[in-house]
Amino acid sequence: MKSRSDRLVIFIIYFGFFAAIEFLVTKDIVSSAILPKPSEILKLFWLDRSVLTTAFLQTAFSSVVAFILAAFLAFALGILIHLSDLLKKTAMPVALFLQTVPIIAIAPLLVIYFGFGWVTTLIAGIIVCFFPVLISTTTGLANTKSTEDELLQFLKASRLQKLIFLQIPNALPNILAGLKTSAGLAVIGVVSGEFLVGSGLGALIESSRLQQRVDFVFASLILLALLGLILMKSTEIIFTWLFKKYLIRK
Amino acid sequence: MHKTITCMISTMLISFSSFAATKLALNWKAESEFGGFYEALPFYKKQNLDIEIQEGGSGSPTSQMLMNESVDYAIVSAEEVVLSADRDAKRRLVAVFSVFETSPYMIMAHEGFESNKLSDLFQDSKQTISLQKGLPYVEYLLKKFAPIQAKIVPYTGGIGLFQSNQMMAQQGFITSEALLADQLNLKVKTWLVADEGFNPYITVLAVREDFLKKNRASVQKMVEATRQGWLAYLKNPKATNTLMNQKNPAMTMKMLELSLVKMQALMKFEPLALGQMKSERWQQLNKQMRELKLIKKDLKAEEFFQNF
Repeated sequence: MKSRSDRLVIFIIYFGFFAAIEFLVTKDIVSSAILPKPSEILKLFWLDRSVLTTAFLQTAFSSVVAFILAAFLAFALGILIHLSDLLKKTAMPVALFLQTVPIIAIAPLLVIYFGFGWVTTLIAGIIVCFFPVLISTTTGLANTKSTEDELLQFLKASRLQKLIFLQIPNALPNILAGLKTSAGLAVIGVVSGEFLVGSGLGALIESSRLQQRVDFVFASLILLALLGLILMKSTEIIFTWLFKKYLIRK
Repeated sequence: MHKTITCMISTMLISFSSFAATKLALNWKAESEFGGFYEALPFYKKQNLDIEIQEGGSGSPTSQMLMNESVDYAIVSAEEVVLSADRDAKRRLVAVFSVFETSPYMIMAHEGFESNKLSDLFQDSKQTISLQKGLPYVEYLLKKFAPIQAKIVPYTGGIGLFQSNQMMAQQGFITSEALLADQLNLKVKTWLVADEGFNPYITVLAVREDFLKKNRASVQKMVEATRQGWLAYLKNPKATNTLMNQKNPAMTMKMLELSLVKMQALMKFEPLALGQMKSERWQQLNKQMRELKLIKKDLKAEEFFQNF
């Protein structure tokens, strides 16, 4: 019952917010060239659905592929780093570099190296969403309970057995947290690439901005937020479904 | 303690005085195409105008800043003036001074490209042309030369990609990218977009229409001081170039000098005074932008500009 009243309050807050924007723009207190009316954006979603759908699908496809590739690569590297101190010392500075340098600064270089194609967009996405999965995997693998560790030592389990039967299952909740962060970041990386490569919602935002079409910019931003949410939520659902028993045990 | 408080109060007062100054927003960093505005700073003072120049950056939305009343004066392009009138007629912009009489927009290819016609460049399937779609002059060229055989890729700024690929052409300013290529000893061919029939006024000083109505005398003073600034800069640019070089070290003194030489050829306003604009040019731009479906309304040329 409480949750229903909470939802109602949230709905009223959002409705009031959008109604206020609609009022301010309709009464010309705020320029429609700067802030479009919510009703105009809704109209745009219908009238220009073909342009928006095409751009959305391009960005969505690139984001999903970048996210899946980054997740597998980061998970594999996380395991290798866990197993080898030398690799940890070698790979972590590079991973940290890629995490700390803004993608917007790296993206022009990617165009020089990989050209104006889908690969550039994909790599931009991978770079941005790689790090959270890597860190969550290495942290999760290191967080083994000492009693469980001692038990496996007593049973004379090999390093591989310990990894498969104890450390990876233990790391799953951490990995899920990393994956959820990465899912949102994949969209950011891909759009940064699209600004330069000229495809998807990134290109649509750029050309709309140049033509002072803020309604298109806002519609694209809404689609980007929606895409990020869909990716995060579906990641959580799929991952929880696949590893339910380990996550509950934790 | 007293010193600290005095210092804090002084800083606050300076900040407040900065808020009080009328802002002129540039759409890029300090370089030759803004030289006259920097040179005009003492002339503004003589006219009792407290003008603060704000440098811009990549994608600075100066037309929206004007419409939103964040600034009272801004540098925009003629296309942005037309777009503003179409998007929000009540907050539309009015051009009051243009630095360029002929648009410096150009397309640049490597000298190895055999033809001297721009149309051939767009029809050459081996060429890649770097263009920022959405820009009115790019849309004009894409429509004019359609169907296009060359590969069109987005413009990423600078000339890095152009430098590394002999089969690449790109958009730019004749006063900037073409000079940069020259500095790097690249042999290039250039075509002015103006010669292809799209010639809007560029580096235009604009105000909001309502601001102009309320402050006509002040705007007139601003334009007159700006004109004086430009005349002084064209005569002796050294001091202002030194100032701009300090603000934007990427523009060397030599680049600033060379850029100004290129600019002078595009600043022939006679018989009008420097910075004044012609009605037929605005009419033509309005017509072209309607044909490109960038605007819906058909406005009168006189609504876009005001000569002083």
